[in-house]
Amino acid sequence: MSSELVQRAQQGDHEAFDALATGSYARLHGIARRILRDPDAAQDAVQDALIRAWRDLRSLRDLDRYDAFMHRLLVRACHDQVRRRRRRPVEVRDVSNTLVASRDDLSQIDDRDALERAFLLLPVSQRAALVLTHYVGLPASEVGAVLGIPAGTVHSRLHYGATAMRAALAPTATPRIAIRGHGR
Amino acid sequence: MNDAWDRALAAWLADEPDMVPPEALGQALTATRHVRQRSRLEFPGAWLPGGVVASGSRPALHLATRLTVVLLLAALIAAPFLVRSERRLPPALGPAGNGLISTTVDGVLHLIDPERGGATPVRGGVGNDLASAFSPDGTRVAFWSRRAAEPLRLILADVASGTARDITGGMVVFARQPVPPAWSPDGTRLAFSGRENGRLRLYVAAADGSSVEAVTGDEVGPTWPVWSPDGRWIAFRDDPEALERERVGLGVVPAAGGDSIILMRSTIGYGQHFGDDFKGISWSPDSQRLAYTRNGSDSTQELHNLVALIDLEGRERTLTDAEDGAAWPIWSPDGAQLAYRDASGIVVTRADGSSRRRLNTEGLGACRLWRWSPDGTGILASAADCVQPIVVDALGTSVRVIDVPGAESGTPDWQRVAE
Repeated sequence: MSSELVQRAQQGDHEAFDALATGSYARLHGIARRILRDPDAAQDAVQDALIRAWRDLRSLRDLDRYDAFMHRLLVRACHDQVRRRRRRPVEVRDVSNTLVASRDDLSQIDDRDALERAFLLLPVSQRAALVLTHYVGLPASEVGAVLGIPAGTVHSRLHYGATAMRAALAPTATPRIAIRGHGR
Repeated sequence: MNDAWDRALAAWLADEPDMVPPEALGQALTATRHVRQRSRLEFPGAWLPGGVVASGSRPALHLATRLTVVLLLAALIAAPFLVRSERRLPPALGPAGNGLISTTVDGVLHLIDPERGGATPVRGGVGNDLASAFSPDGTRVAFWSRRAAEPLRLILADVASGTARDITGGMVVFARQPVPPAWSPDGTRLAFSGRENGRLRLYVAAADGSSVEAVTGDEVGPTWPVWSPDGRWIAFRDDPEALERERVGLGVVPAAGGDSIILMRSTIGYGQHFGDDFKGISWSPDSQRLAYTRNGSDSTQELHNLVALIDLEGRERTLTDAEDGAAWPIWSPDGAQLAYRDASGIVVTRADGSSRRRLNTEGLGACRLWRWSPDGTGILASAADCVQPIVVDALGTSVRVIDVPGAESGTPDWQRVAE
């Protein structure tokens, strides 16, 4: 059924594409929401991805690979959203009063703000690998196909992403100031 | 791999409220309606033999590789005979690709990349650089520049090479308010308002600097020129300086010169009119109508701005009510939509006035709308402070601030490039 819709959409059938988009919108929004941690940016990323999907749909040879095709466009759109929002004015948040314990088990960490900040310190490429693996549940080979990297590189990004998050959650001797975005 | 960590991370990612805004899907689907699907030929991977794309069999790959090499060689041999060595230019009219944005920073015209950031100064100005306008093909930018107490000079700079020239030559140009020059659609001429013997006139200068000629006489006081997309007319704001003609008006004059026609006059006297009357006139892409701001009375006879359309026969249709305080309408590149600002921000509507929707400016407001992005997906405007350039997404809910230090009030423009 989905392959038939893709084929019709490739021939310019807007209704077929609308059906594909409607069926996948919530899932795509959930993925973008988790990568970007910003509902507005997630909405923009999904819209950008759908626009590009409609524009470039005829590049898809294997109609059964539509989901991977959409995931790839969505990750690119998430990259673009992060780049655009970097040019917003600097937002400075003082986290000196929110030190967290050094634990490997996330379930023991109550401060979701700390988790959020630790996740946002990661580059989009690592965030996407973590989300596609641990939320979407894709195997490394599939994550690699979406991100355009070998499966071994996927494992590396997962490893470095997790390590970076754990390091960010460890207590520090002096207060830190987390900076999001860049100044002029 | 740390299994405990992985499980905990998965649980944390899953424990996230999934609330999709109800209007989000509809907006996304609407956005796709405005996008052209690329043909299969634009994606070699989609039509080259399958062995090239997949990790196919070695014989198939070998054959496909030889075929690809042959095709490339044929293209290289044929190219000099079939393709002139010119950079790709945007289409003459209608939607195009988004290029650079011009705006004045610290008194110098800069070209800003809205996607990657970065600002490049434009050489050739003589002091303070003012209102700018890209040529329709995006290869040049014209802008006013002046030293203190000297006449304005119209500078024409090549975007790629940076070379610049003064095309007003020795002509003394005084204008009450520097507004962008108006390019002819073929990019060979520019129209601007100047002053001769104390009277305002409309001048047309050749882009190569070879000539400057007046196309209006004493009968009108033209400012804010705008060239019609079909090249036949130049619209202008008629500024009454003679007491006998005390109301501002909207006029057109044949681009080749001839009698001016006043299509509309303000309903109130010169001493009372609002500053935005008939400024920022916008031609429809089919050159059949003009969108503009004029004053109008509400139910209590209080004056406000409103937006209206008029054809070349002088038949007017108001698009907004006076109570809305709407102003600065601009036509989308495909002619399907209009945008204007009101007291609350920016509104987009279909050309017939239906399907109005308000754009999110994230509290920045809007002072003036300058133009749609060449691809029709954004609107270049000034924020409520009338200085900060902003780009507002015309289809969604986002806004980007062009965050340059020392940005000054002026007239930014957006370059059209090939898509």
